[in-house]
Amino acid sequence: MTPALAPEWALLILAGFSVFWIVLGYRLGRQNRTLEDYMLAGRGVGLALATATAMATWVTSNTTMTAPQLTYQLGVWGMVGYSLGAVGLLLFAPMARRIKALLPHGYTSGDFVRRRYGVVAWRVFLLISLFYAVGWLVSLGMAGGILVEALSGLPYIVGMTVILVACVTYTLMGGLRAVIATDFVQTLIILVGVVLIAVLVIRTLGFETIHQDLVQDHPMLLNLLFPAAIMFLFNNLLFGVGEIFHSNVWWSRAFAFRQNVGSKAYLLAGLFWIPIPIVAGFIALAAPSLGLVIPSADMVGPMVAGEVLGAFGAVLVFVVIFAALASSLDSLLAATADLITQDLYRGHINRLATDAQALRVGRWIIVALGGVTWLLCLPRITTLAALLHFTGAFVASAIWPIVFGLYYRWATGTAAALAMISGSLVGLWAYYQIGFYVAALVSCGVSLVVLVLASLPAQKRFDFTTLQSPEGGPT
Amino acid sequence: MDLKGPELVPLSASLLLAQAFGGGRTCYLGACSRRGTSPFLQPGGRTIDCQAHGRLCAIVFLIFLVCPVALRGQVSLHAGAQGTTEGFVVLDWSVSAPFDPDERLVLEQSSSPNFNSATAHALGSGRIAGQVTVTGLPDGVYYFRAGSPVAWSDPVAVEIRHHPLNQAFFFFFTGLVLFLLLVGFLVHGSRAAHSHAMRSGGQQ
Repeated sequence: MTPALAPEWALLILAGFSVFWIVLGYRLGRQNRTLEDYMLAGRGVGLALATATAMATWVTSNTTMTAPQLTYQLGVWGMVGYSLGAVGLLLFAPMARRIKALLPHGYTSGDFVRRRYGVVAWRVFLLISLFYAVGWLVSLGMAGGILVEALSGLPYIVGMTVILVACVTYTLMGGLRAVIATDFVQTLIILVGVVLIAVLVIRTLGFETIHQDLVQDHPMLLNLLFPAAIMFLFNNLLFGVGEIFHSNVWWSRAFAFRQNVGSKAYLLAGLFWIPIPIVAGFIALAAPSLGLVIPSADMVGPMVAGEVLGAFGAVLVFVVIFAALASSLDSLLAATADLITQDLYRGHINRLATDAQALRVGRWIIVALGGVTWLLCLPRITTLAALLHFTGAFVASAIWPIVFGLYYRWATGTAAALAMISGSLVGLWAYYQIGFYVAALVSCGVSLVVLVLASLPAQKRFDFTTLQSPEGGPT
Repeated sequence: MDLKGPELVPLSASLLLAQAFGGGRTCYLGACSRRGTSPFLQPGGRTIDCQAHGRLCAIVFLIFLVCPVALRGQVSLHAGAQGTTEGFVVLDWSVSAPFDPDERLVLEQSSSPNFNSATAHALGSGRIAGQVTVTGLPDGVYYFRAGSPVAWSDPVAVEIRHHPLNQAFFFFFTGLVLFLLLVGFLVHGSRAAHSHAMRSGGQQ
């Protein structure tokens, strides 16, 4: 198959956007003076930027590439189920206000878990959180390589490497301030681009042709009683909730946004996000009508757009997905580096580290994370959806410890640790025994039962006011 | 042996060898005949009587080995185990190099082992290996083969058996209950925190 985009064009776009993001990151980074500026953009982000960064971060390669993949594999329920990922953002809206009020001096989600539940639960949480962060980083790096390969025929390693290097560079230079500002630009590109692609696909092929071809050759994609897809619906919802509730990507934004901005920003971002996976997923249904042979299901989105829309469409898809990738990759790099700096370096290695030392170490950690991600992306071990949902077993186990930890005094540290461990293990079992579409759901259910049962015997009630001071809580 | 049409062509080396040295009556040279690479062509026909030409057939076999077009017959196809409960199958195909880069390969899919009313998916040309993901298949046994009308791989049978619907609904309703519990706990917790903050004059 001839690539939709000439390799020279692909390289030109990659280089052009990379330089643009890096220059933007450099200019914004010059405003950073303190650790708080670098890690939390000075804790003063307003509503427009807050909404844009929340939305852009959640529109990832997973939205623009995995939503079509899941639609291609699980049909109509695949894209509807994927859009339920917005529920995580919507439910996090009230939590953002609670987080900001409970921990006015907090930096990371790990800070909360350590002070609310103690060291054992904190370490279990860190393992889960870091595993998820690396899994997501790898899926983003892989998506970059797959995107470039699918559209231009350039080797997978080229796209993967360029996108990683660009994102590491501008995140390194600008910190969270650069991440949020670039997210704003990227959100505009994503919104306009995705809508344009869907309109062009529908105008080119028409609903009727697509429907007829699906009925004839791929009937299960339209079947509302598709068993795996039915199981996938709430699994994906809970997976999204687990991702958002536990991840420092969202907590660091809750700390960074101005007072009373977080809840509105997450609510708006969730509402704007809902239609995007539907639109992105829909184009996968056009693949049979085009007679496309899809090598790997995660390539279906770019391939359909490239085929239908020709060179212009390929450029459009390339730019949109590149923006989506960058907007998530930078956020994740920054938030994960913060988590490692605060919770591993300052929490375990050098408890007396000054802000200046932490800032220096944080920058090295961003570079190291980029390097580790690059190495793990090289073998391209699985498809994007399979990799992403593998982490579902872990993150969904953290939903109840976070919710009960934020609002209820009776949840204990031991119970939280047990809930996360047992939820993750049983979720993994379900992943292998049944399928990726139940891992998060099983993990979440087991975690709830264990957390409630293990907390019942405890008499002690947690005092939330201990979280207000810069340091304190259980150790 | 009674091969006709496309089935005539995918000669295996062993068959030709056996016929060449074992005194078999007929060699099938359709693979070469289309390109005119065989000096033993019978205009208008596709077979040559080799009974008295055993050595000649051995030479034909050697030509067959070095003739790129003859390697059309060496297309292989394998199905991965994943996806059979989700209605999809991932197929890996490859052609033993070297082969004619202009050869247009297709993947045929049918619900019958003899490929009646098969659906064809174009695999393109110029590649020696690749992967195909076919999705949206209902329960049943599906047969796949890759190659071209003159040289097919061995057929691959894949059985699609979706998860039982009662299992699907069990997980669906479990997920629904968990979701409702989550919303309930969040709403209750938020209200309790708000009223507590109002009582104590805090920010919540």
